Amino acid sequence: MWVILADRTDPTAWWAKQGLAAHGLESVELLTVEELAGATRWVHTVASDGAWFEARLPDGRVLHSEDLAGALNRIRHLPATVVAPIEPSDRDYVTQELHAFFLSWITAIHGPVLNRATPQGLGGSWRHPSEWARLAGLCGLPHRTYHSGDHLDGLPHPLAGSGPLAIVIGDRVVGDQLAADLEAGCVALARRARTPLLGIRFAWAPEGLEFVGADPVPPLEHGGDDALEALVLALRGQQ
Amino acid sequence: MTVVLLCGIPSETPLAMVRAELVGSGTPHVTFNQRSFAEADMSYELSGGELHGYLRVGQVEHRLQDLSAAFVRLMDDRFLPELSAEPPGSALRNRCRQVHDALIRWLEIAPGRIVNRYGAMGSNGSKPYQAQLITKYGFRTPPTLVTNDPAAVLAFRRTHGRVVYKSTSGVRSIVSELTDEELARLDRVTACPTQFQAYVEGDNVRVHVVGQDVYATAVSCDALDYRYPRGSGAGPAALTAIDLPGDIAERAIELTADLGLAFAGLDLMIEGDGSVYCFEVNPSPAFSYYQQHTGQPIARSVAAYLTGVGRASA
Repeated sequence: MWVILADRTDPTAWWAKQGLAAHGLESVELLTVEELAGATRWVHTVASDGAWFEARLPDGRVLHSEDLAGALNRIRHLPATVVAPIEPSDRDYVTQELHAFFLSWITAIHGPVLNRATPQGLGGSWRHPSEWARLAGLCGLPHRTYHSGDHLDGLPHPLAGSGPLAIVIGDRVVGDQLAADLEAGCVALARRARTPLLGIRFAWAPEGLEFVGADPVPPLEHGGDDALEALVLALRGQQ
Repeated sequence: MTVVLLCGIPSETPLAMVRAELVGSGTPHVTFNQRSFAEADMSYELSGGELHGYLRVGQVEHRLQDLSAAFVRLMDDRFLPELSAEPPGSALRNRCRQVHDALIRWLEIAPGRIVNRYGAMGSNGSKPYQAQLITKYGFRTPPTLVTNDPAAVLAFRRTHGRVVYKSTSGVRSIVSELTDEELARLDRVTACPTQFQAYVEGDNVRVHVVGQDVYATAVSCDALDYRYPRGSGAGPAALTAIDLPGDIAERAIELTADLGLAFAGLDLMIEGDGSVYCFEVNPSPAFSYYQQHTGQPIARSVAAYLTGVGRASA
């Protein structure tokens, strides 16, 4: 069984569930973070020879780590509704505990996972715009100048903008067409960031396209059938 | 020229120890005292792959390009004494946050030796996650259960006998034994998956890794968690510098480096048969306690790493 892990309001997850099945991925289940956090039984074990988990979801489905072939992981964070019933004085603590727990059991999925959970993000590393700009520069992608005073009023969505949007899936780049050197830079950026599934936004500048931001939980629909084909290949380890 | 940035509160013992070593070796350094944030300012830009800017401490402005290394011991700036009377959202609180945010962001992207970058410290925020990384380096981890099912806890206890519990995250992380009395409130685990571990016995060893340098300290204590002996009625721990057997030191160096850390404190337990458990890799170790009891030159190693000389810089 393949699973898609996502927020229940994530339209891309529902699109991917239909599309991946249509592209030949057998038995695709969508598991929402709300269902997973509300599981009536969680048993997650870690030992010197490996890690496993078992969850009984609110609707009665039972999830065993041994049954999973791999996952498309789009969990951005744990929604506040998950800890709403907890006493306010314990809410921050329980949020940290649940985050730590999710990070561990997602890591215990044995097959391919796009993207693996990291301490910086359950669906792949979230990075500050300054870090993405630094990495983009190291990968040969022209980027906007970053000033330390930027974003004092809050961070924009990492893919905000109307310029070309590329999506790296393993070794392939889908979405808007880019020049070969920019495509190579995108793949290099995803590798350097250890984030094999990565949306990358560009903007038009006088000298050409420049990197704006990157997001490990991109709108896959933007890549259409190409994205689905690339996902199937990446999940099956055929790239 | 090497200029080392020290970040934190200068009177904090680990920071003071490293600063003393830098003074002793004549290494130029700058101290960002976070309690004096109101007299500090920072600005930089990243353009074309180049990072330029300044850090002003008091009346002195330092070019960021001149800072080649940093030792970071920042406390959570929200809880600085200078803010204790400040309401949420006050101008002073906002200024404090802005200075710290700029500094922390710079530490993540600055070239040079940063001990340690925040991004690399994250694995310690989930004990079972970090355990899965640790076991890849040949260290054992005690059988661990994270569950919201009281029946699973009881079964785990029947299998392993003595069982301890502790937080899954890095918050409120004190080890306690699951006693018969505690079973009466076991149903509380249904509110949130809770971590339980089989109790393992052996010799506690704290290992500090600084680049390529390794300092091992045997810890003898009757308390379940030797860091908190008072609560258990046990006496203080006895600390002794030791040499690690076999390839443990090499594995500790490799694990620390692969976690992206230049400096770490590993909590090991060595069993009678020589097998080695690693309970945790602490990315911001309070090494001063061990140095003061054993004389191990840990601060000197950190200073050497920061200045790029000695074994630590290999």
